[in-house]
Amino acid sequence: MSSVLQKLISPLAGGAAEPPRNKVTVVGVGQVGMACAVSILLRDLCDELALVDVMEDRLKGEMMDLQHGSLFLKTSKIVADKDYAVTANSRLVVVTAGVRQQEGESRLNLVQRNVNVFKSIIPQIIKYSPNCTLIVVSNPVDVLTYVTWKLSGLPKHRVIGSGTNLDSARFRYLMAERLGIHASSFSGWVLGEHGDTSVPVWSGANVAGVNLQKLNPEIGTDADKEQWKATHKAVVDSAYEVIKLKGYTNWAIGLSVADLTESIIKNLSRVHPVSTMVKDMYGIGEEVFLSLPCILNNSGVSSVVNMTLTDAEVAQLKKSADTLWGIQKDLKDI
Amino acid sequence: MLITWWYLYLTARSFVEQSLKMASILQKLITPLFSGPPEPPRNKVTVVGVGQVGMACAVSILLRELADELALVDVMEDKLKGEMMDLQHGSLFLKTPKIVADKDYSVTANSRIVVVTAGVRQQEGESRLNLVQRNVNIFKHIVPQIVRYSPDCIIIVVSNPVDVLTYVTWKLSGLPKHRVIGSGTNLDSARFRFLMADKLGIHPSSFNGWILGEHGDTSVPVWSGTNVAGVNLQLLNPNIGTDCDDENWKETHKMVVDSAYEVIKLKGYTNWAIGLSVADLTESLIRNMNRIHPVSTMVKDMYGISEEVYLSLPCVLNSGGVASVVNMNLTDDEVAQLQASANTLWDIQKDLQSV
Repeated sequence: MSSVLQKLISPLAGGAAEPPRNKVTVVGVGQVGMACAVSILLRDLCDELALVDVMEDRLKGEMMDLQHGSLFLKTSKIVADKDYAVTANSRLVVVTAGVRQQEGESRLNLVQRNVNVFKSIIPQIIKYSPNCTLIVVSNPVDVLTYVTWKLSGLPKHRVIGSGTNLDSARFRYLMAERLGIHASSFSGWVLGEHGDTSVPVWSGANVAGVNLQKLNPEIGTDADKEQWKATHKAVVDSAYEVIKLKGYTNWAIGLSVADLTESIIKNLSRVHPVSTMVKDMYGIGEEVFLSLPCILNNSGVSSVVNMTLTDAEVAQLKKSADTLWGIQKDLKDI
Repeated sequence: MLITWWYLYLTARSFVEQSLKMASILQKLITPLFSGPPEPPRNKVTVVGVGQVGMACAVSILLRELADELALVDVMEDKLKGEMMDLQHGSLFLKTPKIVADKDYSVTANSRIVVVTAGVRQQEGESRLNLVQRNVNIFKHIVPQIVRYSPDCIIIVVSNPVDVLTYVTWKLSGLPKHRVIGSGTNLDSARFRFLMADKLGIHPSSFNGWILGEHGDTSVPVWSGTNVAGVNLQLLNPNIGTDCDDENWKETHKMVVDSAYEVIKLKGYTNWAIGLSVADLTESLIRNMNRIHPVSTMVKDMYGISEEVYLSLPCVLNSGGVASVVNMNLTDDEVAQLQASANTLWDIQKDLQSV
């Protein structure tokens, strides 16, 4: 009376299944979390994907929907539970949980609401994956990355905010469109706060090494006839605009998180503008997280690239730092 | 005389300096080599409908790098523009340089593949067949527009009830039958292979199993063909798929049929799996692969079916569309099930207004 399984398959290796080597957890199965999950799956980056959320039905439905696509994927194990035990042994944990910006609401208004959510999430993540790297996506990302760092007890190189990786991607797309080239051929960095006060480093903008500021010394200023500054403004306004049109943004942020995930999981040492702890850089005296060009590999943020910024750009960073510290110092219990 | 030449020189020099100052960054940076209209796209895909299913199809197609241009169409203009912008903002990470969207179908011109996901979706507990007339009316606006702007395209119909709507699309489009495909049981088979493989501890791609017929409650699992590495499961267990099977493998097919209802109950809709399965079909078509997929095709005169209905059979897909159909060895019972599906579908189709 042996089963089909027994007749068909003779085990060779006995013993327990091996633990995963490239497990990724996504916390939060809202639009952003699922866009991150799908982008990571379609880029074949992990051998196991875990999803966590508090909404049990939605969580189970999302897990099943992804599992049903297994034939077309190379991630053999997709699990989900509201209990964090399911996240054990993750290399990377992407945190998208929390409440999102309402139409017209600034990211900074979300803060205290999301801090309380994080107080229940972060310790659980660490409990089950003490050696993981954390990517924080929830907004306001710079403040919440600081909060995560504090709540986790992890060293600072293991806690990353998705930061201006997305702003820079949008910047490169919009600038490249004006020049008729692909975004990947336009080199430009947006640093600092992921939000209204992000800093476009015009002095570094270049195509094939040709510095744009040398071609147009007024680039990015109000006096610029070509009004390139409007392109950075469009980046800042992007999220608000897409939210107004479709209610939320998810695809671009999902793709940008998969991009960061790839550098970390594959130990690539690529440089990305992500939110990292910048105390003692650029004259910043407080423990704040801001986006700078970071070298990402399997240790997390292995190093930071020292930019040659103009005095105005440094002043903008300091100002962002002050704004962020202004909020952080009032946060309760972290 | 010398002074005149000198003044002329100064004027000329200042003119040149002025024009250099007046040149934009674009002009200084980039010297066009070839002028003329940009080339038309060679692998353009259009997705009609930017709901959850449409966007899952779009993102799967983008991440599989299948298209050199993606067009989105919908009637909800703000949502459409928002979705287009969100995808465009991800351009740095993608290899599809042109993403466009409009409610006007001219944006879809010259598409190779058009994926139709527009229409209303199943509510919790509602069967696919209940959606019919509502979706037929929508298709009467959509399909002629698609064909007007992409007369040589292949249409993949996803909206439910997919078999009926693929028939409707075929009729409304005037396209030959090999260029109108229903996503059909490609997804059911994927779910079946996942669930069966899971029980056997192997990857779904290593489990061979086909579900044919109606994409819905009366789909037909071809147990006689299920195999792993060529080892036929029915030979190992002759009761497989029947009610007297101790191992109750039939339950797995039932789970496939119930899948959509269950996911809809849990999260309100399904989208990821169908999106991935549509990208899979798109890949075979765009890359001219001649892979075989269970998709909905016109089955009149096969298996004793005398009406013009669409049902899923294993179809060889390439850049021409459905190149051919694989002739299955079906049991009498399986043939009877296909015929029963055909009758159910024809029953609905014959009552449709103005198709």
